Amino acid sequence: MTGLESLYREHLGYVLQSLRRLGAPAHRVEDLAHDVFVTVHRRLADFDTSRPVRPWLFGIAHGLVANERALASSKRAETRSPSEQVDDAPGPEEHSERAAAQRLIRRALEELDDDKRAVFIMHELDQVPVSEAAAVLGLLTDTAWSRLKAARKQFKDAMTRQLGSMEGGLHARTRP
Amino acid sequence: MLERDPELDAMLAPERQAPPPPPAALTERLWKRISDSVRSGASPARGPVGPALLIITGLLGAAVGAWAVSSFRAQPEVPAPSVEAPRVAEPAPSAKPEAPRVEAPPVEARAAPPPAPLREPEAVVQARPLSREGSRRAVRDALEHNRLLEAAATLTKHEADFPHDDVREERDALLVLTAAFSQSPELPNVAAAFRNRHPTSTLLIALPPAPPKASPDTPRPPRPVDSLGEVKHSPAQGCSLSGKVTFSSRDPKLTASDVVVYVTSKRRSAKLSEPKRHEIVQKDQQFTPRMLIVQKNDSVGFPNRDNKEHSVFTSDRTTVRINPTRKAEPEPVAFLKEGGFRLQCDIHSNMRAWVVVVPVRELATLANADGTWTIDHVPPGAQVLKVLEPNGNSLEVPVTACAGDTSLEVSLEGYEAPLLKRFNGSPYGEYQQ
Repeated sequence: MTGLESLYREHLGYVLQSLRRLGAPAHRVEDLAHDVFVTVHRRLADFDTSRPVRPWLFGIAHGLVANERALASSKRAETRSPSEQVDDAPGPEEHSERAAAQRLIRRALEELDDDKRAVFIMHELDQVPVSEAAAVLGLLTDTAWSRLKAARKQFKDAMTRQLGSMEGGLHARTRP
Repeated sequence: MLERDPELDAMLAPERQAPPPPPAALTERLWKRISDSVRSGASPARGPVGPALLIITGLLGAAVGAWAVSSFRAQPEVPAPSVEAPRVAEPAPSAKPEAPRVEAPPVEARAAPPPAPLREPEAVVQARPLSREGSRRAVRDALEHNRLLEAAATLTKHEADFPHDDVREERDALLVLTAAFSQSPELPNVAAAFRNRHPTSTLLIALPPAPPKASPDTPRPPRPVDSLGEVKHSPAQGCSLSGKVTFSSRDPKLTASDVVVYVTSKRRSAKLSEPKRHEIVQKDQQFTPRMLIVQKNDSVGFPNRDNKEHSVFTSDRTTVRINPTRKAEPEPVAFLKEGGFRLQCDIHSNMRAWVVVVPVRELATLANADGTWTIDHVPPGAQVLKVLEPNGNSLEVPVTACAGDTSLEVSLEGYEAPLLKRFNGSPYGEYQQ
């Protein structure tokens, strides 16, 4: 279990971050992280050690979140709007500018379609080459490029909209 | 290849930094759970009641094994202890309960089949509302003390209280388990009902084999209710309905033979057959068959027998999204919602096919080239007939089966062909890196 433990200690933060970015409900992030590492243990023998670990971990996390979402939607249990699923619990960084910017980004990510979001996170945030992301997500490379293009547009639109509404709100509050 | 976008880079800069280290308490707690799971050989849990599933899996395997052994022995005059008396080893005291080892009860200590048939447990077993954790604990507690029906009832209540948790499969597995332990004659029916409800369940491997189907010569005994208590069946008798659809299509690629006619009565008076597996093959850049009628819960495989890659998806963008390759055939997809689904290939714009999901497969048909159609064995009484064309136009006609003249003539005007788009919403032909 040493290999698993070293992977766990080194990459737990990344896995938790990826699960949140993928829109996993806050109350399920810990359970899903557990599932990710149990799956890692099962597949560790088949993993090509010459390849980077994080895209592989992301692929597993993406599959589990997709399953979770499919299960929830098939039960018609997903009654909350996507923005409510983001972990918005105030943390120690509550008042920092960076934390506020990160929350905006997470909300914008929530507005992306699931398949576009995965490619976008891998390439734009984790800086994984598109070909590698396509291989991990089981896509044709062309499809991955196409989704990335659409995701960039959707993400920028969402960010612009959020920033606009924040400015509008601020303006309304500061006016007499 | 997309160029870098400086504006986007600036927006994403705060999120691109390395993840903060997780709290030490969380790290240690989670590691303990993971090591427990790894040691017990558990698979990733499906939800918060995952531990219950582990227990059930172990119990089910042992119970069905015991059932299989006992079914080969004579046991009529054997005295028996209580129904809920399999000896279950106490699970190890850990944060996550491990699958218990079950010792099958000796054959000579078996219970006689209980006289009353199995019933769905009542949803309300406790007046006091429980928290999610309390509800999970109640299930575990009932399982540890072999109170299987109580565990099933608690799961039913859990499902009602916490709709985010999918526990139906676990609850139904408990009903199968109870039938197996009590050697109930209902076991084959309960198992069949479990198969119907959970066609993709991993627990199916532990179920006793499906009973052989009755030959056409032997009359089948009537079975008014399914043993899990939901779907009502009636013998497949009835009359033939026939008629003609005059189809005027605005899509040059569609003809009357693409129109589906089916009975969509809300009354579940028709017999439901077992879920079935179908195939739509990709060959020579075409889907074959182009029109497929399936019943709700049927599954469809999409083997690629072409020398090209394909990427198949349905018009709703969610039901099917697979890349069948020539080397690896993807898992079949279950169609769980009624209605029409257009299949497309993300790569080849000329590939189209339709899957129409109907309530009862035997009460649906494709019209002939001249628009005529016939449906046999329609249950007597008031029914609703639906006529659906692939581009989405449809009409519903109320009919009364077995009431004399049942020949219908209807006219249906088809919609124009929709502008097909790729999976990501872009038009075909603008595909670039």
